[in-house]
Amino acid sequence: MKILIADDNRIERLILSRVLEKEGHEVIQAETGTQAIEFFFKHNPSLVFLDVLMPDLDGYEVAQAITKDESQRWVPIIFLTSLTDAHDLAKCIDCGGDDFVSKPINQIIIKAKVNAFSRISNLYETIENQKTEIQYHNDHLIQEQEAAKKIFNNIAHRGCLAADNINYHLSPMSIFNGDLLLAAETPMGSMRLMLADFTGHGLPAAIGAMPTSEIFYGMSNKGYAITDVMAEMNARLHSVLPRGVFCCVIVADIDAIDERITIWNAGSPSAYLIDLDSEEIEEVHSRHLPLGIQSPQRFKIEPQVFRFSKRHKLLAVTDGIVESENEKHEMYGEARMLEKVKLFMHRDNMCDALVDDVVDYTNDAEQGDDLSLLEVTFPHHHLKHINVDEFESHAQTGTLDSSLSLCLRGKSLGKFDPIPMLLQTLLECRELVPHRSRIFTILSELYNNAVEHGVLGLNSAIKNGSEGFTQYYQQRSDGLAALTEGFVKVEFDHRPMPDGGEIVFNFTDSGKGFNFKQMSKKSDKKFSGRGLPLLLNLCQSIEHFDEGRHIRAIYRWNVNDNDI
Amino acid sequence: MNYLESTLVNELREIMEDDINFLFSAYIEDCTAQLLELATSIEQQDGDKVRRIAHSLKGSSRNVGASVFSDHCEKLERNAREGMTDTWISLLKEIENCFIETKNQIQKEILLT
Repeated sequence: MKILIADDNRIERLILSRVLEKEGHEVIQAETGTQAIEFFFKHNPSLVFLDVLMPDLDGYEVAQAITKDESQRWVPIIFLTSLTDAHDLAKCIDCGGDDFVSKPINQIIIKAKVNAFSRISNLYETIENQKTEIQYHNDHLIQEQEAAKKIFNNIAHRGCLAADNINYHLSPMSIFNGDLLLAAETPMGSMRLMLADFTGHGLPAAIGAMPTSEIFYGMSNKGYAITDVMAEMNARLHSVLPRGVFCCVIVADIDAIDERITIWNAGSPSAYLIDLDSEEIEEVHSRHLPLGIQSPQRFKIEPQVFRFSKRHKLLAVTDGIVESENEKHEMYGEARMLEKVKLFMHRDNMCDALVDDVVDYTNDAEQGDDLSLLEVTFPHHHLKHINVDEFESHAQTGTLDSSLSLCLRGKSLGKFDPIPMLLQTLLECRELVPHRSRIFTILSELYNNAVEHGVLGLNSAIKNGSEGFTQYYQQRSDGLAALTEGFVKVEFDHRPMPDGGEIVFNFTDSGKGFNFKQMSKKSDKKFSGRGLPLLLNLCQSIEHFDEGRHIRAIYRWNVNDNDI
Repeated sequence: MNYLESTLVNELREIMEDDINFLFSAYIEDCTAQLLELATSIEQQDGDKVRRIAHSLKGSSRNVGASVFSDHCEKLERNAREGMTDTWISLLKEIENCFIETKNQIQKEILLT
């Protein structure tokens, strides 16, 4: 160690410095108090011996001067004193000294004390170093968190959250509390939303959000139904998330033309479907375990379908609101929330109103910040809107000259949705991408027709009544589950033309058929929602054969159809 | 009379090794000078100074084991603190004599001159 000795007596300095030097320490000698202070700041010793009585400044004053600056590192001070009075000795400690040694100098005691303070000094230095290291790592972590936040936002929050009909409130720390809000438009023009809440906090929760949002956007863009998207999500999370980590979701698909909403709640607090005219509130409860818990084999999703039109609103929340506590540790609770929903339902922005109310209740703005909610009203439907993913790359022309045929029979009919696959195959022809929505609509319409009215024989007139809606979709899902026979055959034949191409669709089903002429006269939505009129609009021609069991639709497209 | 404590001197031999002579020479030098200063201070009746010098002499003497001399200095230090000025001159005489004896012993036993 480097040790400073301050003593006006030459003999004492000589003896003490020799004792210390023999122990291997470097010694700096000061003769006066002033010199002691000067040398202290100049040489930065690790230990100081101070004589109490010195001609200019006494030891006490020197001690005070060198310990004044608390920000600098700690240097032990040992007083050299021939004083024996307890008060005098205590004064040594009071004014910044750490110990005292009495004179005459006893080399054994000196050595022992120097070693003891050396140990303490090392300990102190270790702590300082660790503190610096911790600070460094902390800063580093914060930097990484910021970067992670940015990536997270780019991946998870692309999509159409900015749409007019959506109000939302998302915790700014959502990456760290596991809340996720996703919104996408399907090729068919439906608006699909998902509010998810991963258990756990911090990065593990955030990382779970990555595959989830990839699946959501990827599959929704390709036109997969909610059931398929959720099954895929569950499978992925089941394999990826550690035990005890799972994802509570509310997912909703709004079909603006059919005026219906398909909702599925897995583990989240009830969503509220509000009828603004009648002021009735339908609570959509969770009827399923959250995602990631059940194995793919046991996973079964049965979404509910409700009417949804301009007079409706959907409100979805994570459990943050209900669990917010005030200063007395009383929870906000479901009853209060329902009460406020009734109170605020006509507001333009229910989200803000609710958040403000929670902040009021808890008297804690930070808790309010941590909430995630979603409020959706009826969207504007635009078939025209294309959400072309820039990262898809297909070779030019691809399937421009090709045909495909797929027959789904009995047991597979309810279990596999062929539309996304057919669409993707066609869209391998890059020039068709602007036509994505239209082609999706055609495929979807014809297929649903074949399945629902053909094979299942459902009567869509049922959909009109208020109970009818649910009943219809219940019948549909029961029917599909019970299917063992029957078939739907789907074919497309894509051929190039001088200015673009032509796709011939042939859909055949095993049902009873229908009266085409009669149906095509009706121009209302009562048949299959969109119905034949829409198809007639999109396609160059539609013909029927075999009493309506076989429909052929022809779609002509032009390379110059930029503005569709 | 023994003016040097042998245990302490032996310890010093251990610490200083070959420089033991230098230490004691320096000691004699410092004491000689300080004794002159002491005489002047007493003449001037400067109680504070007398006290300080006596204290310093006491200290360094203890360090080298000259305990008899050191005791005398301590007495003077106390008297100076308590302001008993009339005893100073006689105490000084004792101190000076004691120093001569101590110096002799040092020269004989340590410095070997």
